[in-house]
Amino acid sequence: MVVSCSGGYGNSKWYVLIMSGPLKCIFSLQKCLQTFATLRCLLPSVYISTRECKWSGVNLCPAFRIATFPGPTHSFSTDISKNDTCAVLQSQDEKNSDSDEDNTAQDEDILVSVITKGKQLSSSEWEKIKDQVLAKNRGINGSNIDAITIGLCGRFMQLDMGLSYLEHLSLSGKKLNIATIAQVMRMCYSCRLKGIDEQFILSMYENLHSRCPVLDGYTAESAILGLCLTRHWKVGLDLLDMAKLTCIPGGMEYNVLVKTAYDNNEPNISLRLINEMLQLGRSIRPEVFHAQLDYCNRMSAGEKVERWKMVEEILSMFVEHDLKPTVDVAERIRVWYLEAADPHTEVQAQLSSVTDGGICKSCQKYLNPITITKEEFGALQSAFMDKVVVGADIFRKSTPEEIKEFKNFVKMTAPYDMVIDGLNIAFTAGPKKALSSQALARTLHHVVKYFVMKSKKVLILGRKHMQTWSPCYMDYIYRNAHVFLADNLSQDDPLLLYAALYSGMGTKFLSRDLMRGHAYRLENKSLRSTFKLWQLQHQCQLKYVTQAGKVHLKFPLTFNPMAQVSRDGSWHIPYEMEFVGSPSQSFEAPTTWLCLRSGKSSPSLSQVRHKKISRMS
Amino acid sequence: MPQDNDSTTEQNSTENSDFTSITNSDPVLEKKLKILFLEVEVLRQSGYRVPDSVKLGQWKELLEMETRSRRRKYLSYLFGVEKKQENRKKKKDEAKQKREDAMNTAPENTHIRYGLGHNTILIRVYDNTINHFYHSRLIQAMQFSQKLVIDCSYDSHMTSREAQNCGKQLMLMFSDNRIHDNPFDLYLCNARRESNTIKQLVKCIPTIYDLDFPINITEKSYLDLFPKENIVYLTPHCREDLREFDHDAIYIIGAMVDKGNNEPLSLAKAKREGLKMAKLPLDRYLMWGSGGSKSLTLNQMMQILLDIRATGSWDKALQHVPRRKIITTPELQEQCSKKVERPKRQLRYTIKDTSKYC
Repeated sequence: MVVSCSGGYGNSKWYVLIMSGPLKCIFSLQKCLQTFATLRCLLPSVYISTRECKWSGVNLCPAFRIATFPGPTHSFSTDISKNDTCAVLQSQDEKNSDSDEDNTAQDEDILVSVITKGKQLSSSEWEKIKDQVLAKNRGINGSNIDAITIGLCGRFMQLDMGLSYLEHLSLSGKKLNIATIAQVMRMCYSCRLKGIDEQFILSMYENLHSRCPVLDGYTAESAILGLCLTRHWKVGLDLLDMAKLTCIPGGMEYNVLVKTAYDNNEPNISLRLINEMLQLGRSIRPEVFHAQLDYCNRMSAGEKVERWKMVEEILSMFVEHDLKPTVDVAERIRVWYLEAADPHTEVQAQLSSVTDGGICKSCQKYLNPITITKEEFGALQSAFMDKVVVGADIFRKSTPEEIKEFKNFVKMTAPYDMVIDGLNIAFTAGPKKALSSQALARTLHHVVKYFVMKSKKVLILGRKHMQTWSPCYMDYIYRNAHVFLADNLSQDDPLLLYAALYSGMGTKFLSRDLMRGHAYRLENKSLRSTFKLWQLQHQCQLKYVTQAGKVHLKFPLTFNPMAQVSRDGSWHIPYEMEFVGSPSQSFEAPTTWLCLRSGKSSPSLSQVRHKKISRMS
Repeated sequence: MPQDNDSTTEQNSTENSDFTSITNSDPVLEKKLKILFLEVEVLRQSGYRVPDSVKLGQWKELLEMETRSRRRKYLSYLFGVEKKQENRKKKKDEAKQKREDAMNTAPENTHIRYGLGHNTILIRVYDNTINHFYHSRLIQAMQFSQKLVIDCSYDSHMTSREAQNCGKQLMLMFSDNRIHDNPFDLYLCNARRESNTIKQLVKCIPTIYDLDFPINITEKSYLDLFPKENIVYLTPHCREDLREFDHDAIYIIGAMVDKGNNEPLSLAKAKREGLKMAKLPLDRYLMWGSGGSKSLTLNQMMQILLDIRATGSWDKALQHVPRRKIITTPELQEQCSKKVERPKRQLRYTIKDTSKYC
C-alpha cells in the first residue's frame, strides 16, 4: 500500500510520500518500474514510513532522507512534525540496517531542532543546549556529544554552526577527541561547496595523525574525504590502504578519491582505483564519469578529435566492466561525439531504445550477440561438476551412485537441443496443491510435443515419483524424448545445468528457476560472470501452457545487453535514468541505449548480414 | 601505539589482559587488534552503542569478524548485555536496601517469627533434594530404559551464535527428560569438548562432566557404540514418516540449529552412513499455518518422543508443537471460503449467459 500526498509548507511545496503496509507490497513495488519512475518525477522531499518499510525505501530512493516512527504504528499520529527531519541515514552507500541510529535519534531531537534553525550560537548558548541534552541522560553523554553535534551539522550542511561549536569547544578548553575530528572532516567535505579553508583541514589532519599514526576504518574514511579537498589528497591513498587492514572501504571514499585524482590529472591512479573498487563490488557514481570527461576536455585542450579518442577509452572501460552511465553522462558523450565528427562524414548519435529482437531503433541494426570464448566455457564446464554438483558434500545434493549413473547417461545420449526441468515446467499450470498428476503430465506432454514437432532432441529431468503420473501422456514423453529420473531426495537443478553445459554451446535449457544459488557456488568471479552470460544466452522460460496445448515460450536474449562496440565501429551503450547502486538482477535487457555511429553503409544490407550470424549462434 | 589519550576507559579494558593468547603472536593480527581497539573507541565517541569494557574472549570474536557491520552489531549486543547486568545489579541493590530497612523495624514478638523465610509449619524442600530425586530416576533409566542419541557433530556448520543456542537447547532437553515419568537414557555422541555447543552446555550445567552426573557424553560416534540395524536417524528432509514408535530402535536426533543453513545436512550424513531414516508425521496429524517454519527445537523433539513412547498416540505427543505454528481458525475459514467462492463465481457467469438468450 502506498499513499502519496502533497502539501505546502511556507513558500515551498513539499511532496510527502507515506509508505506503510506489509513488506511484500513494497518489494512488488520495487519490481514495478513504472511506479518507480512516477515516484522519481514527484521527487518527494521527505519520506515517512514505518520501520519495516524503511530499509526497502532506502533501496528504492537512495538519495533521500527517511524519517521513521519509533515503533510499528497503524495510525498516523500527530507526532509527524516532531520526527520530521531526524534519523537521517549516515552513509548512503552502506545499505546495512543499523538500528543503533534509532535510539540516539530520539535524544537528538533538541540538537536537530537547534541546528536546522541555522542561527549561529555563542559559546554560552551552546553550553546551555549541551546541558539540556545531557540532562536527558539517554544515549548521549559527555564523551560522545561533540562528535554527534558536529555530525549533525555535517548532515544538515550547517557549516557555520559547526564552526561555531568548535569555537565553543576551544574556548572551554576541551580537547577534541578522535571521532570529533573525523566528523569535522566529513562536515567539511559535505559542505565543500561553501568554501573551506585548506589550512583548517590540514591542521585537523595533523592533529589526528600525531595522536594516532594508524587509523581505523571509520576515521580513515572521514580523513580521506577531508583531505581530498586539499592539495595533500595523495595521503588519502595511504589512508585507503590503512583502512583495508580491517575493513572493506566504502564506495563513497573510492568515488571521491577517483574524482580527485582526475581533477588533479592523475589518470593512472584513477584507473587503478576503479579496478580495485569494481573488484570489491563498489559501484561508480556519475560524478566520477563527469570528472573523467572533464579531464579529457582539459587534456585535449579543446581539440575535438583528440578529446573523442580519450572518451573512446572510457567507453572501452564501459564495455570491459559492464558499466551503465546515467542519462546526463550519456548526453555529454553524445554531444561530444557529434562535435568530434568529421564535417564530411555523416554521423548519427541518438538516445534510442532496443527492441526485443535486438534491433537498435535509431540505426536499425542488430546488436552484437553474446560471445563466450572456448576457454571460458571449458573452465565453466569443468568447474561446474566439482563446485556445484558435488559441492562440499556429494550427499547433500544426491548420491555418488546416482551421479555416476547420470554421467554415463549423458555421455551416451548427449548432445541435446533442449534440456527441460520436468517438475518446474509441470507446475506452471497452476498452484501446487490444486494440480492433479494428470494435469501435471498433460502440461509436460504439451511442452515436449512442441519441441518434438520441431524435431529437437529433448532431455527431461525429473524425479522417481513421476513414474506414477498418468500413463497416456507419459508414454508419449518416454517414446519421444530422453528421460532421466533422479531420486526423490536429490536436487535435480545441478544435474540439469550439467547436462546443458556438457552438450556445448548449442543447447538451451528450459526452466523458470533463476539458478542464483547455483551461480553463487562458483566462487570465482569470472566463472560467475561466464555462467551469467551463458544463462542469459541459453535459458528459455515458459510463459504459459493452455489446456488445449498451446505453448508460449520466452526465448533467451539474442543480443548482448551490455555496453558494446560493433565491427563497423559504432557504439551502443545502455544507460539508466537515475543512479542505482546495485547491479540489475533480472534477465530484462536495458531499454534505454545510446547509439553512436558514422553512417555510410545502407542499413538493410547490414541487417541481413547480422541476421544470418545470429541464427547460427 | 594508537591509543586515544583522552579516554581512560580504553586503557582500563586493555590493561590487565594478555592478548598474545588470542593473536598467537602474529604481528598482522596484533596490528589488527590494536586498530580494533581504536575502532571501538571511535564508535563509542560517535554515539554508537558500545560496551564500556570488552572481555578477552569477545576481542577474539571481534578479531575474526571481517566486516564493520558485523562488528557493530556484535558490539551492540554486548552493550545490551552489559546494560542488562547493570540494571539487574541496581535493582538487586535497591531490593537489598529495602529488605534491610524492613528488617530494622522491631519485631512484634521475640520468641518466634512466622513467615516463609523463617519459621513455618511447612517442610523446607531444597533444590538439591529435588535434584537427587530426579537424578535417581535418571540413573534407573540409564540402566533399564530405551536409549536416545543426540548427534553433536554439526558444530562446524553452525555460527557461534547458533551453536550457543544449540547448547542451551541441549540443557533444556536434558531437563525435560529428567522431569518426565519415563526418561530416556541420553547419549551425546560426537560431542567434542572444544566445540561451541558443548562449551555452552558446560556453561549451563557446569557439573556435566562429573562421573556421577546421569548423562553419557562421549566423543565417539554412535556407529561404534550401537549396532547399525537398530539405528534410525530422525531427519526432517526424508520422505518416510515415522508411523509407529519402535521401542527397540535407537533414535538419533541431530543437534543442529539450522536457521541460517538450508542444506539437508542430517539427511546427507544418514545417507553416507547408510542408516535408516524417518521423520515425524507432522503433515498427517497437524495443519500447518502460514507462520512458523517446520523446524522444531531439540527440547520440543524430546517432549514429543517422550510422550509418544509413553502414550503411543501421536495426537497427544504432537501437542508439544507450539500452537503458533498451527493454522488458526480465521485463516482456515478464509481458505475454505476461497474454495467455495470459485464455483459460486462460475455459477454467476452461467446465469448471466442464459439471460442473454431469454
